[in-house]
Amino acid sequence: MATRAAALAAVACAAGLVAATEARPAGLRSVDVWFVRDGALVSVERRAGSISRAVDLLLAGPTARERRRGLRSAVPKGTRVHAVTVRQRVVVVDLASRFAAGTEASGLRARIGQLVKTVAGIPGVRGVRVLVEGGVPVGLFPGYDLRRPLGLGAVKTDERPGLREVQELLRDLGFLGAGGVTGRLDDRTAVAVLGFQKWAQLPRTGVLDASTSRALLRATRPLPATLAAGRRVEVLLDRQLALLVDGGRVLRAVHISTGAYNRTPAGSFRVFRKERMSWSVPFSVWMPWASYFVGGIAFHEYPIVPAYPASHGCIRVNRYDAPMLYEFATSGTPVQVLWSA
Amino acid sequence: MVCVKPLLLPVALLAVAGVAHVAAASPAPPRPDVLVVALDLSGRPFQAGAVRGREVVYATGFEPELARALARRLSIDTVRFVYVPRERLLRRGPKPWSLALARLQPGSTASLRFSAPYLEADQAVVLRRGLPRPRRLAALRRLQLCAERGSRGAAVIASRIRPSLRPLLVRDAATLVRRVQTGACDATLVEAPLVGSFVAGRRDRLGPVAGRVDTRAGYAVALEPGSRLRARVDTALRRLRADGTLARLRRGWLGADPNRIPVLR
Repeated sequence: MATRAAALAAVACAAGLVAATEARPAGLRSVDVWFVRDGALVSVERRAGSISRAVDLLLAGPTARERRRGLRSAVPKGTRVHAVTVRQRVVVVDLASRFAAGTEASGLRARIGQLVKTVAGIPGVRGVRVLVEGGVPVGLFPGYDLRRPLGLGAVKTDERPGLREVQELLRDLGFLGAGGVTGRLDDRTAVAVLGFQKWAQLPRTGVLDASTSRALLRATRPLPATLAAGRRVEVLLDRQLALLVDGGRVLRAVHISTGAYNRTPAGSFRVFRKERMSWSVPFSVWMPWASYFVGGIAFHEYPIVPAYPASHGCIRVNRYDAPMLYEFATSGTPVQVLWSA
Repeated sequence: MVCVKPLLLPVALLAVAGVAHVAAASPAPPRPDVLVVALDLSGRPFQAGAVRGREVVYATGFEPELARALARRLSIDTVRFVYVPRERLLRRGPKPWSLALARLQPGSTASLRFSAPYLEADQAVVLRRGLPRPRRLAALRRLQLCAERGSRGAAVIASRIRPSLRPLLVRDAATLVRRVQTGACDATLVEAPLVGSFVAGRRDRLGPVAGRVDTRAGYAVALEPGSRLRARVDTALRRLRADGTLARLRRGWLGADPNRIPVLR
């Protein structure tokens, strides 16, 4: 029996499976330990010379002073750690079952976020493997697959959805076209974010900040300002948005810029002329995807679409949505220009 | 040979005594010391845990607690949980476990036998915000319905509701919530016992629970064909229901009683 155990140990050693019991990255003096404030993860600096110590400090929770500043820990009080080992720059943290106590999904997710951000944030650490009572958690922490090590990028919080989720939300709410869900932060997403900020009456920055993320998680699809059957375009001068409505439902909400100094008249009109490339005689400029609805005033693409009314009266449409709006607003389509939603 | 003879008699006597003991205990089957329960660890609040090899070293949720309560009723001291993925549970072949708790419906597979149900498998209808509450099942047919792909909700939409618009099937619960929140879906179907935890913390994203679709089905304990435990499990379940244990477990793990949600007819 002893011979068999020795042979197994030899095989394990040869395979590089025997782990270091304590990890002390060279030069490690302080670590960022992560806690929760108002649903968001926030870090505080702690003196720690080893990864184990960093985990201990996390489990100890915020100090009384930090608690007064609103910091909390989602990790249950009294959670014990069985072992912290390192295998090929992946830290394996084995915790007692108390770590998985509770039923509230956001709290369970937050404690994984705290642990992963604390440990994976240590220089040289590639990922974190979480074990409970020496076993791989299955279904314990909603939204996390803990069969594989987690890196910093895997951390989710309720208040800050991932970029792809943001894009999916913007698409479902009507601010982003179906092709805009790319998982990359691009100009098209920024335009959709700006459109959403206008609708939600948030600061019009086009930047996906915490308040925008929070508002996105609670937003519902825009509703038309008026009740009428059929297809129409509603232009909301206060929000600087065009709502493409069909059958009482907003299909798309488009970031636009109308005439400065109220040069775009309010009222009910219809699209009467369409030009794929229209030449503006007074301003000597090409206007792609032009749909005229009153006098010389049209929806058209323009390279600069600021968050405020800036045109000479036309409605500037961003380059991502201009072809779609042109297709939607066929000749005779009603256009309602409204002061407010 | 001479030395062996004196030993044979006591051995033979012991063997006879053993048979007599078993005979006296019959017709009840011998009690196992350990109840081996298969879990598929489908997730909270039904069941979740930590797995080492096939052994579930930590199990939590409604079904593990029900298994522990059953074991107490069966006078079995120790419960051992093993992790068996759902598809393997349903497969034919040897069953290295005494019973399985994995939200299985009687008749879902020929390779297993089932106890009496321990939980109703109705589907609750969760509306988007601002939608008038439908009073009848027929009113759901005109709505854009959503469900998780491959879920029982999706099956109930197809078989019971038969909507005029093609239902939207999504990959996970998070997407489902998002679709209802943003209005891409008018309503979604969720396991009725789970609806309490589904809407909890999402009150500002989802509308009210309109009612439930009575599926006339329930979840039952699965056993190997010919298992002698089946009658005892049925009795134990009846007693757990009668003494309020089942209701207490359901309240503690799954929230409000789904039977209080009105049935849409």
